[in-house]
Amino acid sequence: MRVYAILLISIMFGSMPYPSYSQACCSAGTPLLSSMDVSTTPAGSGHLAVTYVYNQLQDVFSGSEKIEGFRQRLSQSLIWELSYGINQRWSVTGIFSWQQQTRRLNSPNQQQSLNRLTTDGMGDALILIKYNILPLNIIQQRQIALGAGLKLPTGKSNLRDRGFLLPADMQPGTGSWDGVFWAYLYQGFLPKITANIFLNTSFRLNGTNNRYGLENSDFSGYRFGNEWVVNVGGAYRTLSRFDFSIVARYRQTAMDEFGGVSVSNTGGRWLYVSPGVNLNFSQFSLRFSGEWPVYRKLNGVQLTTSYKLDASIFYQLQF
Amino acid sequence: MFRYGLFLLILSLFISCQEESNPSSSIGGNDDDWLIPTNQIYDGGPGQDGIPSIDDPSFVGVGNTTFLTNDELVVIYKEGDKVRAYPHAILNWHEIVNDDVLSEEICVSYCPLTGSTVGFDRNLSSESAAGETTYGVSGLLYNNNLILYDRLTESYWSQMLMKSVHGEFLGEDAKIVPLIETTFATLKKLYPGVEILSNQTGIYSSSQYQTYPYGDYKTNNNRLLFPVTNDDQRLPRKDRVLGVVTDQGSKAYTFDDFQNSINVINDQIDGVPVVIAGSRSMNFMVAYIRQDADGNAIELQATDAQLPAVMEDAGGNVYDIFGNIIDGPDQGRSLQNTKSFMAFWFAWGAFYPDIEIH
Repeated sequence: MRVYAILLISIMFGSMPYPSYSQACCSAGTPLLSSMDVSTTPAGSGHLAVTYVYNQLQDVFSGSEKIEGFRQRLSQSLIWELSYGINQRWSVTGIFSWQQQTRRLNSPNQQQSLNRLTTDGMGDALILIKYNILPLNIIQQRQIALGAGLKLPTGKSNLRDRGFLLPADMQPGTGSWDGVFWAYLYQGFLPKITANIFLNTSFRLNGTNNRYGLENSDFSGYRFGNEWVVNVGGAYRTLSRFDFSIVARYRQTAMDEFGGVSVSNTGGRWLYVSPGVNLNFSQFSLRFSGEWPVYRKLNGVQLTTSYKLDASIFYQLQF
Repeated sequence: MFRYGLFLLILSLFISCQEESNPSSSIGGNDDDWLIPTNQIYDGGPGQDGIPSIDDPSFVGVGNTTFLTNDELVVIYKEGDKVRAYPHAILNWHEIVNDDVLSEEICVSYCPLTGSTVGFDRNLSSESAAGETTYGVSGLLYNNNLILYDRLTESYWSQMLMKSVHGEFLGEDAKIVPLIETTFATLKKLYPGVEILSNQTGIYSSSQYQTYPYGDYKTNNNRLLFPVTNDDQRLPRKDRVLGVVTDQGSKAYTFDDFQNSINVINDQIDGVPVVIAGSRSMNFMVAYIRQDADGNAIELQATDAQLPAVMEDAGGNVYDIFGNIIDGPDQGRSLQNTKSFMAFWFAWGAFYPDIEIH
């Protein structure tokens, strides 16, 4: 019995969240889509996570070629996630966020100023229902789950500076209702190897906002490009408090649309590598990870992520 | 208790990372302070000077200009015998060049989103401020068009309105300097000794100027990046059009009005006699007030004289592309400049809703 208990705990920690923050380029809003726990929550228990994301954007790419840039962007997010396992099959996750965006120039050009601007505010929220097609069990150590949900435009998307509407990528929210679809596959290898592998993928089908608030105009709404993210990774659990993980993340976004037409310099494809470490304690765990791009092919010229750091704290709650 | 403590710790760390407060309303946002409706001014994204102006330009001769192909567009300025050209390929990335040409301090401004090139005199004067300035990119757009700011008074200037729209010079007309837009091939025929803005700007690598940073924007008629106040669809949005603005009205001329050889149109804009010279194959259109020294309207026609001559009148005067009489009894005199420049059609329709089309 004690062995099973140890195995169960190991599996649970082994399948702890490996968040994947999907925001990478100058896109609006909080990186909600993949910040959610990649696992599902056991019946009758809850799961609480708080994550801080530090996203530094100072690389400028033209297609897949890095070119010189003159400005940089810092995106910081604080994300709260609460999950509850309704029963063995069904669980629900809610994510709420706070977002801060700072833009500034890299260096002054002769007598020119080092213009700097910061915006912040509550970001968008996400509600997701997950269904365990194959619930996690001790013997098979395999889990397959699907989910679907809605991203709610709780964040402002019409912040102004000096009275002027700021660009979409300086807004804490996207202003649109979006559909979210999610799938998750997990495989553990205990007791042979204290490791597991996982794959999760998500797709965001974006709606159109009313960003410009114009009546009787074709130019009032803006639609962010649909986004597809795939994470493939593995985690290794040591006998100490430490777990280690490595994730390869592929992200693809379609071009944004304005006035029903695609917008230049939006959308593209990214591949990141994201190493991380978990520290496990009796009631909670901590996670620290970084993310670095290894491949980028962007549409047109775009400012994009140079690196990203995040720190999370996770609680398992029993009801 | 421990949980709440950690929450508060993380929250406080995040808040402490906030280096600035939310955007303030220190300027703008009040229509009384602006000549244009502030709810139709948009932050373009890069911020003030996020698109860096060139303030210390260097120039090369035609023989050393290997980065331009013959059909690439350039903007020409002429002062005395000195002719300088500013390629769109470089202006796409900087939008503003603050230059000194002989005794003139000029600003060559180009907005890639409206395809418009307007030259400004860099000497400003008002009751409380006077002096030489440089201009920078404010980061704001109106009708997709560049709003410049002057670094002397921080006044804002709408490029296509050619007026100050905010600040100390609110409502004042800009002092415009004439520029001509054409291709590199035509430039070489017009002025072989021209000095061309070097792609060694010291800001970006020279190879970066080979990239057009807006995808297919300049040719895709469906694509705009921001709303416009008037979406005039009488012509395709991205048609390059010469607009002529007078105190009485405005009129647009397209390349369809011209043949491959140089043609001259003697026209009137609400009573103001103007002459338009242009060539489809040579890719230029220019406009002047067609009056003699006494203010009488004159008729001009295309000339057989060699470039840069393009027109002649019945009195035997030959005019170059800048409207200067370079041969004939009135040599040394010039036609009066109009406020005219090339821009995408949609921008003319947005800024000048009553504009006529020739």
